[in-house]
Amino acid sequence: MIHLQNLRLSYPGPDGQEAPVLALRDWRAARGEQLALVGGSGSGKTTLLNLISGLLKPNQGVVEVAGTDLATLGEARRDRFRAEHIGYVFQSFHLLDGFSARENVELGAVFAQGKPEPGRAAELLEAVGLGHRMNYPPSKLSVGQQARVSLARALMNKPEVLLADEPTGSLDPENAAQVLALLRDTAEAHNITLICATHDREVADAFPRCDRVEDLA
Amino acid sequence: MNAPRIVLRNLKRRPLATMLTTMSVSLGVALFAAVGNLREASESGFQRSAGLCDTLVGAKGSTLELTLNALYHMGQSQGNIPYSLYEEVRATPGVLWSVPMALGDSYRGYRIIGVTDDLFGRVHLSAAGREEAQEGLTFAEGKGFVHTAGDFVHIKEDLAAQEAEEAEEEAEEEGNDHSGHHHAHNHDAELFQAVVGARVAEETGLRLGAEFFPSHGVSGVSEEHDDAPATVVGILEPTGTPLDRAIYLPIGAYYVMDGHEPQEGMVEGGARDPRGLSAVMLGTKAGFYRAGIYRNLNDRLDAMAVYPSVEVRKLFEIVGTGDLVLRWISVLVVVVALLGVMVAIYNTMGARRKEFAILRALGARRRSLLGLVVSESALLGFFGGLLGLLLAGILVMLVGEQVRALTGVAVEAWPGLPELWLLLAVTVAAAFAGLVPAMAAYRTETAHALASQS
Ligand SMILES: Nc1ncnc2c1ncn2[C@@H]1O[C@H](COP(=O)(O)OP(=O)(O)OP(=O)(O)O)[C@@H](O)[C@H]1O
Ligand SMILES: [Mg+2]
Repeated sequence: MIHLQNLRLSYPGPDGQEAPVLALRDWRAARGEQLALVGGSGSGKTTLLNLISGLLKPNQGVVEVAGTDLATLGEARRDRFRAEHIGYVFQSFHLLDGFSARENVELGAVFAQGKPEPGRAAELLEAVGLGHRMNYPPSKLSVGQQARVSLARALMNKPEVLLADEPTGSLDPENAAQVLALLRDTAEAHNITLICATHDREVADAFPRCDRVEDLA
Repeated sequence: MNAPRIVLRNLKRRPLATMLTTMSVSLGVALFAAVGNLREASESGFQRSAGLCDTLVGAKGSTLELTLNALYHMGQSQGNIPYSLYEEVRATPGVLWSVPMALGDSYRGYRIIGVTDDLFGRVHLSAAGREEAQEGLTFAEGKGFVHTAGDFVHIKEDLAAQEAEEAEEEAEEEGNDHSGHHHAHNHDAELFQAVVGARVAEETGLRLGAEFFPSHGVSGVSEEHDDAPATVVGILEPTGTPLDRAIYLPIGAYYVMDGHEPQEGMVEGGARDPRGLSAVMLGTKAGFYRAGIYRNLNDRLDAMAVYPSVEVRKLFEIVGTGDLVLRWISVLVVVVALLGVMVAIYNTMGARRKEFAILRALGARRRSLLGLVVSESALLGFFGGLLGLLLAGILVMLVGEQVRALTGVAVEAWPGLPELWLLLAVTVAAAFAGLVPAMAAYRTETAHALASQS
């Protein structure tokens, strides 16, 4: 499903020298697999997720996702690919103010090709237990509810890969456990590959597989 | 949710900025459209009135003033032309019809004009908005009086004979008092029949059969011809020309009314000739004849001929220069307003960086973000343009009503192709203005913006 090979990404540092950020020899994740990514702050967890989603392009190497090598695609094609194959959940959920919960979920499908089935956003919100809050703006939702809306939005395009970057980082332990369970159950139900970057030992322990970014080079 | 709705929502999220920028665009567009429309509509309105006759004959002087005075009832008469000229012109080959005009009386501010009945039968009036002209006037009520050129000539001959007689008597009975002599001839009721324009009927309440006393002079209150009440026999259909604001009497009546007869010290034949005419409307054969008639009349010392439509065109060329200045000013207003749109949107870019990054993460391409911002700007331009056209329409209606009240000329403007082009131009210009902030959206570094707090 996901296969990264001889990956290398570096940024120009403040001194003008290329500073390596991430290096990977060979890394795979199977379809439907659920795994946690751990590592110290600045180790490159977010960067790795951005590479898999095609937001970033490696300096060298292969980023094969669902049979496509993203490293060979131009930016616009990678954007299209992301819209159609990948769902993204962020630490601070990044919902858009000015749009209701339901509209935020619908936004997940605006940039993909084809029209989503009508009512899908509502169904997804029902599924994450927010059927009664569909028309609320994000600012009137609790943090845990925002996390659920964010998950619903990520699922809008029926992704094959779900990327979560510190999804529990801003939640209290109880909410964190609930959201994590929801993430994993949903991924399992739809046979989605779930990759979750986290600092949290407890979160990482909940996953059957846990990779340390520092060990992948 | 779809892209157009995202654009609309983003505008709705900033109601104040959206309203203010839309309004500023609309002001410029309104000014631009109103200026152009008003000039065009009033020019075509005035041209329609100018088309009543192809040639106008009057006393030497300003050609424009003659046109305005005789056809639009504005300003003061520049003097008279000798009666004999009318007879000459009437007999000139190529003259299809002629209507002599005597101006100088009024009723409640509406001018009374002495004419022959050829006015009702022969003048040309194109239907508003249509090219081909209809010959003659139609009546809403009643009918025109009968007063042919022959009747008029007859009255003039009678009067001349009477004057000669009086002069003889005067010579015989020197020093004797002759006051009251002029009342001698009987006021034939037929001579005091009036046809009133639609607006006059509406405003003064003159109905069929109503009697009224013309007053001497064209402005303000002046003495009435209390000896000669006129009876309304016809009311014209509205024409959208100065005809609506005029009252027509048989021209013969003008010469038998008290106060119009020659007085001591008046010079015969000159521009003050009390026996003369104010103007003559001519219908002539187009081409060779018309040009010849025009030339011959202008070779004379006691009269001139003008083409009313040419005068109106010249007038609007003068108006047009002022109008051009206004148009440039309004273009500047639009440009400044669009700069305002650009700045207003640009100012939101910092706060929306994160939002753009989120949309990118959801699969939006850079070009999609560019499109969103450009659409926002274009939509502001479009709304502003639409509102501006609406304002312009209201403005043209108000000013047009004013022009009509003053001159009788109908100024009607309907939105057409030029307005569509204007709307398109403003929308496109706004889209270009939007490119500046849109480039900022385009360049958003997604991974970076997503990582940043705020
Ligand atoms: N735009 C950039 N320019 C230069 N260096 C960058 C840029 N973005 C990230 N980096 C560097 O890349 C490295 C990896 O960053 P990344 O955000 O992937 O770490 P992370 O593992 O997600 O850390 P955290 O756990 O704190 O979220 C960091 O050392 C950071 O300094
Ligand atoms: Mg991170």
